[in-house]
Amino acid sequence: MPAVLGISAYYHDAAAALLVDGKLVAAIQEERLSRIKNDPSLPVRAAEACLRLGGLPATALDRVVFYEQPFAKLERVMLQLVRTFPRSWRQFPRALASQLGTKLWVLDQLAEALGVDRKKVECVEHHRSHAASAFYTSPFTDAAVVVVDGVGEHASTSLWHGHGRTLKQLATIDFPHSLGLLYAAITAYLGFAVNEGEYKVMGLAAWGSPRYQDAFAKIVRLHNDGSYELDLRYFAHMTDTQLGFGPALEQLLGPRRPPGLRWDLASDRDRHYADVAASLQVTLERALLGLTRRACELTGATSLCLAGGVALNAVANARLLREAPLENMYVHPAAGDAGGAVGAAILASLELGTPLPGPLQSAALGPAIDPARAWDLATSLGLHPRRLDDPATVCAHAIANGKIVAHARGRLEWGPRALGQRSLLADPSDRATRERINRVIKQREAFRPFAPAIRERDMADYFIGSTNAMTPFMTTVAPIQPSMHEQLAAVTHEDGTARLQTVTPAKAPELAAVLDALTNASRPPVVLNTSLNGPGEPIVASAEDALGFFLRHPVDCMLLGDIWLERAKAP
Amino acid sequence: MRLTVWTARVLNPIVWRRRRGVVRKLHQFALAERASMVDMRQAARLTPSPERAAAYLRHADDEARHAHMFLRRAQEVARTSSLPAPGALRVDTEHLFDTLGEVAFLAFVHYGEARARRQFETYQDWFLANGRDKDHALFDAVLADERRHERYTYAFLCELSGSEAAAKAAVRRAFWWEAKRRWLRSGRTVATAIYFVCSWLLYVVLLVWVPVIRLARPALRRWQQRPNALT
Ligand SMILES: [Fe+2]
Ligand SMILES: [Fe+2]
Ligand SMILES: [Fe+2]
Repeated sequence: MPAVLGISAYYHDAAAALLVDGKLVAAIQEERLSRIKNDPSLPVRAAEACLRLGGLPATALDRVVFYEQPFAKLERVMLQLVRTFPRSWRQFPRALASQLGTKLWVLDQLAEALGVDRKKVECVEHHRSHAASAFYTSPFTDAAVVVVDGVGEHASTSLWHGHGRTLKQLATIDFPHSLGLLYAAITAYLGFAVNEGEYKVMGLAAWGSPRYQDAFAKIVRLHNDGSYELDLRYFAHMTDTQLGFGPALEQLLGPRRPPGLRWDLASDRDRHYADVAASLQVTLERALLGLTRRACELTGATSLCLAGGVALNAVANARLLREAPLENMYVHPAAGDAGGAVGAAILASLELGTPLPGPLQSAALGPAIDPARAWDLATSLGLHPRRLDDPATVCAHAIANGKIVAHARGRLEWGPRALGQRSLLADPSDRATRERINRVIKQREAFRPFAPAIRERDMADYFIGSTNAMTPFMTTVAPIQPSMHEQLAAVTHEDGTARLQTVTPAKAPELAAVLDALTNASRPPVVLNTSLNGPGEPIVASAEDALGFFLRHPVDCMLLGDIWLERAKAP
Repeated sequence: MRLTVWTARVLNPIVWRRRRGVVRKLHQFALAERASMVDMRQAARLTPSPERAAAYLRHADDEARHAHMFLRRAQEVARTSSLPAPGALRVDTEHLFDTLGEVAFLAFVHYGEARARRQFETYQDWFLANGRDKDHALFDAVLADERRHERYTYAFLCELSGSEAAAKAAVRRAFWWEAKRRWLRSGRTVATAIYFVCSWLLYVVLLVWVPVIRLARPALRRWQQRPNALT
């Protein structure tokens, strides 16, 4: 039974994934275990946790595969530094140190850290890893595959044709032209942290009107053949990895928003920035539509797999499915670089002759909570834990009574979205609860929406449209039925949509049980679902993380496996 | 008088006088507290004892609160002085429990808490003498916790290492370990400066390649077809 470990690291969000005989048995982001948000370091903890879950020692691995080619990447970085001479003087020492100091030797480091034979460690191309993660875990046997990210080795956008076991590259657009880096530049312009604030930009867009489309047409030119080109005068990502945009962008769109200012969307100043976000969103959607149409033309396929960080833009994904010549569409739940670990592992596994992994059944691919440890620790903390026979019903009753429940059950989710295994759950109709979560627990901007989780079979009652390959993984949005806006008031975004998750017992059994229990209590089969983490922290993984969260944040109750904690009322 | 106390006393008027310096210092403390929170949560996950894990989680909770308090105050000072708001709290940690083991980790934490407490006490004196009530109150709240951290880590240390003498020896080792680390860190700072100078010299040499690369390997636009490989 061939066993393959896939690794992504050293850019953003490192991760490990284990395939045994073609089956995806575990996939974990390093940040969940190291507790450093978006931890890019070599994911040794994640790799070891995957091996523990697979019941294998590292010596049993047939291959360890890194998700990009270090030498090709070095070539691109050096070429870019020389091309932009002398403007790259500031970046040169750092780029050289990070490439030659660590990144170039990653395969040797992996062999040493995991204790595997160096001959078993290899690498695959960055965009091929992305494409494989999307296509081979999709429900399709023939699909167009589009990868859009910041940059891999050279490519920042690539089109592929996936058919059966084959994945054929058709065309690429290369760095410095990049939709991912365009999005990053505007994220920084709006005063958010790059690689973290992109969701905020997407949420903000719904509050603005896209009145700067003409300006954006100058920044990025969209061609009839589906390709695009950045006007590099507006950018600085070739010479400044921190900011990504140049003074010309501020001349065009006005001064950047200083980071850290409180948002006030009633003010002219912030409405302007919301309009910039809305214009970016529309431009991105048009660019992605061009790429998708081109990919469909080249492949003749009517299914699309989208991967790369840009594929996490759920609003754009919904528009693609609506307007491109597509019947269905799939986005891997960890579409960003973490997902490359899965793709790399699949490619090597197929080379070893294993069966195809088949469609992703569930994103619950990480470690579960240790119930004995959770009990002992909760007792030591004096939290008076209770064991429940029917946790889902107790949880549903608490939600129905307006409580905010921290729900940590089952195996940890893979990817940036909490899908019910490590979630905060609450009543989807109560605006006050939403305010409480936003202000007190998450301390995040009020314009950011919360997402609903709904029983799959009930979707049509609450949303316009039907389930598709993306809805189980929260990678798309759908309009809420106008008659349901009040019932779903806490999860209806400014534009009347929601980034929904459709739930089945196969994909998220614990959350499905809560939704069933809600209907048994004559409540709608919907909950507000947001990730279980404090501000600036990775999603909770272990019992210790969950209890640390419970101490710090004023949630009403917590479900840790079948252990129930309730916050004592203030005397 | 210990070196930390002496240095803090000498530097207090310089550090706390200018608003910009206050914002920077408070933000640095917030970052340190946040890193300490992550260290303590990691310790809670790794220790075999649920009792110690509980104590570490409580400790982590204090540090999270301290980080929040320092950041709030830094933001407030920045706002009232029209200075740029301090950035979000990014965490860096050296995973000390992993590398040191529980006894040495506890010794290190105990030593760090004691040092921070002494340093903070000198700030207290200065704030009191200079009528800085808000800052005094902030450090007052933090100090109460730091004293508790110093005590409980020592109690655990005695328990784990078997005797008070062994605990004291572990704290001494932590002192030397930290001193060595500082020495290496300063060496790294010097090495980095030398590296930057050398790499810029190399960068100038690159000038020769600029026309060649621009001609032979220009940045590519629009669709590229690579010799495709089937897998
Ligand atoms: Fe990528
Ligand atoms: Fe502290
Ligand atoms: Fe402390």
